[in-house]
Amino acid sequence: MAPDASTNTAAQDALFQKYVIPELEVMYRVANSITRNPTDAEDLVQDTLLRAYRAIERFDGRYPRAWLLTIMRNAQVNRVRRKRPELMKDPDETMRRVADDSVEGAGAEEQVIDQEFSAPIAQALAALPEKFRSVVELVDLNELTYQEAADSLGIPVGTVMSRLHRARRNIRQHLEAFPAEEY
Amino acid sequence: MAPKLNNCREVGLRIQSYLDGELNSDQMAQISAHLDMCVDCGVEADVFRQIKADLASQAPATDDAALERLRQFSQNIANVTLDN
Repeated sequence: MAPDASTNTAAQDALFQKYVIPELEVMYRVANSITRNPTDAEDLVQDTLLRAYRAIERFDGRYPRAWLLTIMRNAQVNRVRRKRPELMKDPDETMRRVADDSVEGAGAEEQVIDQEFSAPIAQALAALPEKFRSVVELVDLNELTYQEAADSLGIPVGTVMSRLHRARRNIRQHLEAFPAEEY
Repeated sequence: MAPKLNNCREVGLRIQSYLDGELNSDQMAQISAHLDMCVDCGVEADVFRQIKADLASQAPATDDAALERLRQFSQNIANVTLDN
């Protein structure tokens, strides 16, 4: 539900224009990585936009992308909690669900078809466990910094770094084990 | 005091952060200098540089229709000007 336009202030609008609008595309790409579902991604961005608008006058203007990605992550946590009310009691489990929820989206058949027709690098990426793949997608496909990826996933920067580096080493091993000419 | 990044082990531990531009300027310069002189580490850097490039090529195409809907949604929230 959009806020009542009559309550909007020019200051809010100007800040929203300055800090939020330029990040729309990145927000949508990251939402796709988090949800793995285009419809859910669009809903999540809309939710994030509403939250950002309401909070924009309290934002200090530093690192708007990191600020927006943190809002998006919190919005996603709430969405997962609404789907799974029992998670309200366990924040750690909720964050794990945020990271793992998307796994349900890709069926076994879809994964096999993807692997059949995609390049070795795509197969190597698809073979990664979800928590490693999501970090690779945020940094290497969506070009986020380590800090921005950490904000998106609600994990420490050091964890982003260790997962990312390990994931790339796994990809390297995969590519060495299954070189392109075998496909 | 931070270790000097002039041996293969120290460089190897940071090679991916270097390629991601996530080190400070001093560390970046030290590793860059090492890569200029060490063939093995140079090859290692090239391998991960290629993996990063290949992964970047996997980025999905932008869904212009979805982005347009989100721009319209933004206009419903706030009085903003949208540049395509």
